[in-house]
Amino acid sequence: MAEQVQMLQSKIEEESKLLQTLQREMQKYVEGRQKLIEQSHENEMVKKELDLLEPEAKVYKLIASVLVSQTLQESKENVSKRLDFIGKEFKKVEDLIKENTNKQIAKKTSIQKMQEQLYQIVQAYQQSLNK
Amino acid sequence: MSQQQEEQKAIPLDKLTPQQLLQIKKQIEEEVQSLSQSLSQFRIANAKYEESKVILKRLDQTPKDNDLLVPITASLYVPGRLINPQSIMIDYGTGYFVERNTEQGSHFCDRKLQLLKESQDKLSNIINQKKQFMDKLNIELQKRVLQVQQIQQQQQQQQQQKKQ
Repeated sequence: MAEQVQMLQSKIEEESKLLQTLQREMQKYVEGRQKLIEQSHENEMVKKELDLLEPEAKVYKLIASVLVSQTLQESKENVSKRLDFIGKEFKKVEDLIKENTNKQIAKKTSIQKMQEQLYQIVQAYQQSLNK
Repeated sequence: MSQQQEEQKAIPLDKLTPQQLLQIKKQIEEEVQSLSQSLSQFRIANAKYEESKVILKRLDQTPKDNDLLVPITASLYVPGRLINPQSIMIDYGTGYFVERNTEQGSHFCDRKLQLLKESQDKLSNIINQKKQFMDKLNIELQKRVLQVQQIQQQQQQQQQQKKQ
């Protein structure tokens, strides 16, 4: 019995550590998702403003410490591309978050099962002692 | 988050234990605090845009070829001349700048102020909803305290009767 108990206990510890790694991963995913939402908002606002401009408007882009002249067409395309890219990244992160949630649920169920097993073994042993 | 809230409202409050009620109350209090902080940040942004509009009006009234000092670094200024008081550069975001005149700049500020106002209103609504929910929680907690007091009183009365 002592062997079984030890084995279960070390397995439970292992699985708990894996669960913690999953939870830390999840935190990073959620932070990344938040940043993507912010970026997408900012780019959408810029897109709306650019749409209000007349074609001859002088648009500049900040590259390092230099303002480089751009055509309105270029800027609009650039912002649209960025929005598309952010959209794709967002989907990726959402899928990763889903996967991670499922993995966490599976781990928690397996840990619970092992804890129940452990409890039953200890109970059975105590009962046999009482007899 | 709103899904959680709906779940909590779906479970009738009187079925929750006092500890659970306290827990939820703490959670909602923290949320209200952080949302109120965001609200004050909104107000600061509001003030900045209003200030920009005032400055733009003043620029309009500044005569051309006005002498001015241009900051090169934080402690170094260089004398200069205002060549075109009408032309300003607006930071649109994500690294894009557009050259506009003061009137268009003022309209830009107006649009931003409009956006800010809409977001502020939404935020105020959410904060009010949470405060209302907290009031309900407090009423429920008070009920529990009264219930416990009543039970204690009853027990005391019963003990006194037994002694007699």
